[in-house]
Amino acid sequence: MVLKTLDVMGPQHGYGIAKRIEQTSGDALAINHGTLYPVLLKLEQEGAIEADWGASENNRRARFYRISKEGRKQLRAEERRWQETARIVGEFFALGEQRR
Amino acid sequence: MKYLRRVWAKVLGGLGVHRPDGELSEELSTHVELLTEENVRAGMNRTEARRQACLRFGALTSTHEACREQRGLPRIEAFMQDLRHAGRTLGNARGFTLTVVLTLGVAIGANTAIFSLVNQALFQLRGVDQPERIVSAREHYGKLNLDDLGVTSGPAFADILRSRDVFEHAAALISSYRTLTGGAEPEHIQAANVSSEWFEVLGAKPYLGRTFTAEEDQPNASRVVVLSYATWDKLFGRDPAVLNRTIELDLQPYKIIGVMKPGIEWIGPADVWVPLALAPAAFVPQERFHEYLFTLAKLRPGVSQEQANAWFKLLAARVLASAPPDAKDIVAMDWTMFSKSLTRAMVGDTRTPMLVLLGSVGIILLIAASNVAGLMLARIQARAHELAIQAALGASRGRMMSRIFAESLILMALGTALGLPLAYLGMKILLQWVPQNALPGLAVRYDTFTLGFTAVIVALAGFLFGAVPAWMASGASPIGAMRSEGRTVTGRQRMRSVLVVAETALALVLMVAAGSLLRSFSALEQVQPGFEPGGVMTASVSFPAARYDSGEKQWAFYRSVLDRLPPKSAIASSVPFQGGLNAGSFEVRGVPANDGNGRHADVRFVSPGFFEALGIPVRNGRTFARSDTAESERVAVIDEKLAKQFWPGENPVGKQLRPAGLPEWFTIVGVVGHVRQAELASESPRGTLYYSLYQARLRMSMAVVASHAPADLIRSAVTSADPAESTFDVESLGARVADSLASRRFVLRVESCFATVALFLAALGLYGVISYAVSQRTREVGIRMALGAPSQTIIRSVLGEGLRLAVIGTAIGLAAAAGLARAIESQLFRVRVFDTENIAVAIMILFVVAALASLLPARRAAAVDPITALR
Repeated sequence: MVLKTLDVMGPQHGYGIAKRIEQTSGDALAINHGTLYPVLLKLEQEGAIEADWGASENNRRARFYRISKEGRKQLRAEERRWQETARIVGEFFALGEQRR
Repeated sequence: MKYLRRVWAKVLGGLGVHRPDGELSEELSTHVELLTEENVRAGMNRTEARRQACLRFGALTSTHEACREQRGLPRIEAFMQDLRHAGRTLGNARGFTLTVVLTLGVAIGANTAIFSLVNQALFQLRGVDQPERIVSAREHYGKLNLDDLGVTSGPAFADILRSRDVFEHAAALISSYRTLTGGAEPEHIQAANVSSEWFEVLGAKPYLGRTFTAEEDQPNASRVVVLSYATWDKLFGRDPAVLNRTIELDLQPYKIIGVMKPGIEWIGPADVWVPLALAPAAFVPQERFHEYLFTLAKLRPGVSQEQANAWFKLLAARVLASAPPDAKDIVAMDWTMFSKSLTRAMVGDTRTPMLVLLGSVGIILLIAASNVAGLMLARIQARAHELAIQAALGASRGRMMSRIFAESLILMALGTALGLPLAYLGMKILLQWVPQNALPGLAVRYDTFTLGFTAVIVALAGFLFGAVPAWMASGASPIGAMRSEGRTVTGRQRMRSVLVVAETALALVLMVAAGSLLRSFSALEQVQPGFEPGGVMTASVSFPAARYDSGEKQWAFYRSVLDRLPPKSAIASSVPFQGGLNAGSFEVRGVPANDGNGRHADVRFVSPGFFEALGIPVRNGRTFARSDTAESERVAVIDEKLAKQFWPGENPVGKQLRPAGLPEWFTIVGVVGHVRQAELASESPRGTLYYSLYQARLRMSMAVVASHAPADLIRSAVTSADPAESTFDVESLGARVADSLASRRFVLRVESCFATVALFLAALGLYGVISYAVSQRTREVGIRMALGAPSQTIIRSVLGEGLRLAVIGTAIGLAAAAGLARAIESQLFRVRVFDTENIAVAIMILFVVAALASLLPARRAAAVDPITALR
């Protein structure tokens, strides 16, 4: 989700990412914002995202994350895998519907 | 890939390469700030907005923690922290650190040095490629007590060369002395006469030029020579333009075709290599039992030494089946052939002593490790309170072990860092002590195998003194440790006592070993060799066969040399303890030659005056006189051993014998005493047969001058007899006898060093334990003194404790020495390991040292002031 957000929105700081995830999920995924940071760190270590310091809306120093080439590749693979899983699970449930 | 990348980033993160903590907190606080502002925009007041923002974000600290964990490798970070902490504490305890590092350094150094030499001597050979594939061909005459002739005949060599399915390469060598002429002074050098495949067998490559071709290895081919690296350096100052130049050997020019890399020159040994160029006559069947070639063969890949041995057995059976009738007595002598691995052939008898040394140095390592373990335990004991508090505050057992383990790791690293240079020094010293004739080709060397061995012993020792105390320490219950502060912690003290007992036992084993070797050595020095070496100087001369091609020329040369020397001088084909002794068969007049009793003797050609010069006693009859010449009756002198073997109960003087292959009968004119030929430890199995030098022509063009004159006089006598001649291998007879003990002296020296080190380490361990016990008992001692106990009682009780440990150690050590006895008994001469005197001396030394080690703390205990102790 973090990757997709960055892919769609372009460079974002942590707050932006958290907000975006909340909005997209219609506040269904209301997580503690803090838990986002270890994930960001992990993605950065993997090279999926890159980060730079920039100025935020309220003129404070904030780290802006953006998706890297590597990250796009990962995102695409992740998307495909998810759709595949969703399709299978979907068909599985559809099968149950028919029988009933 | 992704995973690796993350680990790498974590390693960098752990080392603090990226993003300091400050940046993270700034980033997080910005986030909270933005949340707050959002809430303010939604209409909350500032305080409530901030509160909601914090709730929304979650716990700041745990986020920090999670990020930190994600960033680095927490376990490793913790261990690095332990290492830094251990480094600081060790830095504070300088005395402890120094003792441990020194102990470990010495033990590791000694082990590495000895292992490097043993490894080189027993498993690798300098300059030789794949020594395990090379075998040396040997012959054996069971009935003659010739178990291993060391050489083979020409026909046998030809058979080996032909069997290419078994042997990839084969070559033969004859060593000889050559005179390097053409320079200012004639100079003797050692030449290895080798067949063309010699270098292929050993896998040695030339540094410059090439080695011999098969065509050059033919009689009457052009004269070519390959120089050793050292000779090239000495003669030509490493001039690269040396190829195709010539050197003169025995007045004949040889063209230089190559220079070898340093390495294989110790086999031979060789200053230069020249082609062996055996004549076709060397390969005729009649030569089958004339052995003189040192033959090596490289097995084809996949051929085992057992298969090679089977091949030799088969060859011997074929030879015997087709043996001509006149060789029937050979059949009766239980003749056969076999092979020996090159390593075995070159190292031979030194195998057992080397393994004994390796075992001993291993014992040193054990003692050192238990000593260090004892010190570690004492240190942990002293810190029991600190550790208990840590445990009470919730430090996990793993974490506490890791603390102590970090300390061992640092000590181990320091010990190794000290041990490796010490090993280098040790190797240098050992190489000076190593007898060159017994163990040639050794060098100061660290190879991967040796370093691997060091790594293994370091790991073992580290486990012994690091992990075990760490485990014990971390297991202590905090309550017990805190409560017992100030009193003895008996469990660990017992463990330390056990360690000290083990050390004492091991030290005793080494002392007993060193003691038996010492006694054996002095027993050997007492052996009478059968002659008087005192004052006798010996020097070799060689006379090229080309110029001394007749007996007359040789005899004239001897006379001319001896005329210039004082009366007690002689020339002989060899002298005792010099090597180069021949053996030969003979038949006795009136006894059938083929009765199956091999008549074999050590043979020496001597000039008149030989027995007088060497002080060999005459038992019966006379020795050679100047009148015994080619024109007079052939005469022989035998020694008492030969007389007893073949003329028991008879007077052999006047009896006649005939050397195998000669037409004339020789009359025995005298019997002399038997002499030790090569070593003091044992007699030659054969008697000695002496012929007159003036009734024979020496086949090998070399002789030895033995005289009571100084070396210079001998040399000038030789050069004035023939200006192209000079002496070499000049050494007093006494020194030759002493050299024969060099191997034993080497083992004795090293073993004595080990015993001393072991004793010292054991004393150190004992001292540590006793003095700790004393410091723990200060209170008790104070009470006893206050109640009126005299200081002697205190001293006696502390001493008693030390000696009690020594007694237990001695008992165990004696049992261990029984095992050792089997290992070294073969190395001893007329001495047994379990000799009362030997054991008694070892125990006495041990007790004196143990008493000294416990006396120091005992005196300290007695000096306790009751008032301070009780306060």
